[in-house]
Amino acid sequence: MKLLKSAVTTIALAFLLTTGIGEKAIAQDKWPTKPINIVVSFKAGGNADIVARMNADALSKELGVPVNVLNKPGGAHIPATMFVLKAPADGYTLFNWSPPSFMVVPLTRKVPYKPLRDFIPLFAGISASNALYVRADSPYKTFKEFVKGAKAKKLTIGVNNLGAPPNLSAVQMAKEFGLEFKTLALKTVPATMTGLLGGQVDVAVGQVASIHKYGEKVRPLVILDNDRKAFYAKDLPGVRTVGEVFPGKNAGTWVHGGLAVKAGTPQHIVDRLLEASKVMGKPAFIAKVPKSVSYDWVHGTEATRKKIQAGIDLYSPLLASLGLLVKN
Amino acid sequence: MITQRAANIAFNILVIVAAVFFALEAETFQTSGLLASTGLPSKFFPQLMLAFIGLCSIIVIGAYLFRGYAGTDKGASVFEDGGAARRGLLVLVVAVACYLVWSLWSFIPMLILIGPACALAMGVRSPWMYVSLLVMSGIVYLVFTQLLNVQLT
Amino acid sequence: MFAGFDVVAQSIGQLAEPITLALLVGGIVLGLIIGVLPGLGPPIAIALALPFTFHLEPIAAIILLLGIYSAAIYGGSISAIAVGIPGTGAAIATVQDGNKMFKAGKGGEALGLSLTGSIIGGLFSVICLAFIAPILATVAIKFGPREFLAISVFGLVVVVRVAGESLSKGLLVGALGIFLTTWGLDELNGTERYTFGSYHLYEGIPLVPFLVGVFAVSEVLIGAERALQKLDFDQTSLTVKLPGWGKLMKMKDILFRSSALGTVIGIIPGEGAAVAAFFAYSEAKRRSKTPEKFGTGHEEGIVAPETANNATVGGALVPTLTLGVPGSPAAAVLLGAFLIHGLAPGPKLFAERPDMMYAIFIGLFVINILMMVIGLMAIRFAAKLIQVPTTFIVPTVLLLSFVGIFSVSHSFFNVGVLLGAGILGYVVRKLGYSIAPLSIGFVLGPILENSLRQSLVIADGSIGEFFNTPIGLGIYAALALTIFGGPLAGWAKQKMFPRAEDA
Repeated sequence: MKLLKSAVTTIALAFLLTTGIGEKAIAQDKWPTKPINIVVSFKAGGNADIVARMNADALSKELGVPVNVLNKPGGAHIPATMFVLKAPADGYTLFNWSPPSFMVVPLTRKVPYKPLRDFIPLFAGISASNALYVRADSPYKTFKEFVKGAKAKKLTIGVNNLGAPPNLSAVQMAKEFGLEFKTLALKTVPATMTGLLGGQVDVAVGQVASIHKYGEKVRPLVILDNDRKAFYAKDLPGVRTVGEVFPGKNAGTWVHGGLAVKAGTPQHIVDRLLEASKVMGKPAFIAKVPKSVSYDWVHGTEATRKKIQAGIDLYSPLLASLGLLVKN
Repeated sequence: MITQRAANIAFNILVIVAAVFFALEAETFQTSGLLASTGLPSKFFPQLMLAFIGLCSIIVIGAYLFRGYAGTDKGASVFEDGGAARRGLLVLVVAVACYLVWSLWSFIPMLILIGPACALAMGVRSPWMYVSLLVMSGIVYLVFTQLLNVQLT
Repeated sequence: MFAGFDVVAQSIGQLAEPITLALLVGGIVLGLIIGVLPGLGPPIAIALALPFTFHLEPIAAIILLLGIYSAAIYGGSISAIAVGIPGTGAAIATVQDGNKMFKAGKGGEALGLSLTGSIIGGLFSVICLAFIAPILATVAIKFGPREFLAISVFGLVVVVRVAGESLSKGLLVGALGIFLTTWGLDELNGTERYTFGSYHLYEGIPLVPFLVGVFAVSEVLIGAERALQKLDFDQTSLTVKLPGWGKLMKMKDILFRSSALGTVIGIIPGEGAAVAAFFAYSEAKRRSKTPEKFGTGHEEGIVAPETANNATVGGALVPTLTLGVPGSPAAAVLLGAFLIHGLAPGPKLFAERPDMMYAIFIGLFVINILMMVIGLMAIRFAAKLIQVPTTFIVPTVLLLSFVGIFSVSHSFFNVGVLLGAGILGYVVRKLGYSIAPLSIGFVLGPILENSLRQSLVIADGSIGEFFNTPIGLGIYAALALTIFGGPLAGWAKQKMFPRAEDA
């Protein structure tokens, strides 16, 4: 039976080749033939999951097969990552990579994988930059006043999770300006902003896009970055970055996420996925992304790899100075 | 049969041994780097709970040793009779075996196995029960894979 | 205060569309099924339905998801009563009295009570949401570590109340539940605690597999022991009986208190339906003239938790809609649905989309009414479950628990936790420990530890700052009152009316 099948396939192949439809048609026709899974290392709900579901919807339309989202939360994102690496490299299992799985966890814990070696990233879409917020009635009107005030009195700062990018931004700022804070981890960015509104903390590290939700009740002081990104003017017009207020002082955030496939996936499948994912960089798609999510589109394997390497270069020295860096 | 008294004394001795082990294990926690002050060290809370567990265990052991019972289980035994013990423990074995079949092999064999194996463990004789359990397995499979779109492998 | 009659009329118009209504009925049925299945709870119910809403109008989509949410929370109580296994965490507190009543041949009555309580709690919280949401939201944002600590301390008292016949045994498993939550990475500094070198344990022992294991797997094993016994019941237990007006009036205090408690606990971000149900149960027991009846199949022991857990739905929506902070895990998924449909819940939503807000209020009302009808049909069926032989139920529940846990996480580790927790639950139940304190300890543990340590960080060594929390002090005062209030009142009565006792 098997023999017969392969014989038929061979003849069909030969026929196709000789009639000149060629390799391209085979590659495009053969993949995908069954549903594709996007593995998300977060619980359902939340920004990363929402955008992954939007990606799934868009990919499904482009590729003509169902694309399912598979939530695999827990275990510091490692089980989800390993699940993709244990699946065959056939393009049917995509990984929704994010700062914890590709950046923070591999830098601070022993993990059985290396993001840049074991994965082929396709693109980066969802992004975020951190900004420092105070309540509208706070005595600190500018970042300079805030630095002065924080030196005079130990303020309480709110971040989402310890070790996550907003916390690292705060730690970097504290180091650069010689400040000391009482840090409260409030689990999510909206909870951090709410903690600020409720007076639990004096200052909060939120995202640049958080302003859309809290409007006039909070005041952004500074963007925790050196160089300007395109979406800053859209979200926080007129607010400067740390590097712009204090030239020479360093600040940075690296929050990106996108899709990747396991290393070893055949090139024609990677190409097909790259082609299909182009739609996620189009204005029509970006317009549908929730306002509270920033979008920083980088497409193509090499460009995305460079983006990820930039994050490693940003966080490695900072984590090393805190004694948190782990050599994997 | 095993009495509640003997079983509880044995269980609580085990609990105390485990509590001591976990309390010592907590001494080996390593906090690397300092991201923020935490009020209390990581080991404080687990050790506090373990101390409390140990204290409760000692009280429970005392109650069984000197009074013979705790609550309302005077003279009671753990299992009603040998048959009950056998059925309970055999179904436990089946549950563990099914988990192993699923995780080491795949879903479908476990799906077929679980109903009849449980029935066998409980000493069911009626062939109808075996048939209806197989039908049940099929329905569960269809509901999850078709209605709820879950991938079971 | 009303934005205008036309806005309300428009919202009703959108809801009255036949397609929206049909979807709603479908959503409630799906929610009920998911709620009944062990391990699958409201968050996964909403997540599963999410893709279907991509192509719907925002209002229809949100109403559909709200219907699923409400039905899933209620559905958990059906399996809690009929099989002794809480379908969701919200129904844990219902198991004790609900299942005892069912086994005592009063299943139809028990199911009717839980349905009625759920609807009343749901409606109460919708009314709160519609009229005082902005005020409630200002309370919600005041909840920081010191306030959470006060709530957790209150919770510890609940542990004592559900401890069972032997206090020291109850406290032992309660502390065990809390201890097990310390496993995994320390949230406050990243220290690995009891991970034993496995990354699966980095985020600790997962909550849902643990709870389902403790309840469902242990129930399966105990069921297997008694598989060959015949249950005694008469035909009347097979028919569903809704409580009459007289009975409801007799319970009106419990209904009101549980509704209010559920709404308030729903509002507090991070506290879920399970906590609300336990608090309401313990409060009803404390105030009861016959507290010894609780846990033996007492009607009030069903009504109190069931009213409270459905009241959390409206409560949880308060911070979700007005602050953008989900009040429960299910509300977190719901928040995602709002974002997908281009709505940003937060302080501005009320002002920007009044039609949306009114549609949600009215929608929730309609949902509760529909749930009454659909629920009634579901429990007619559930009441007959007592005729199904235990030998059939044992493998079915075991399989459903396995598949349910797996489908949420796609993780064999979590199925392993289910089994491990099941063995633990079986052993402690066989040795005469109550699993209620174990589960409440496991739910409260993380909040207790983290809020205590973060409170100490805020206080920075100052006791005054540690207690600088008006809400927290209020909770501590209420706590002191519940503990010492009874004896104190009795003592005062004796002093003031020394002869009252003789009369």
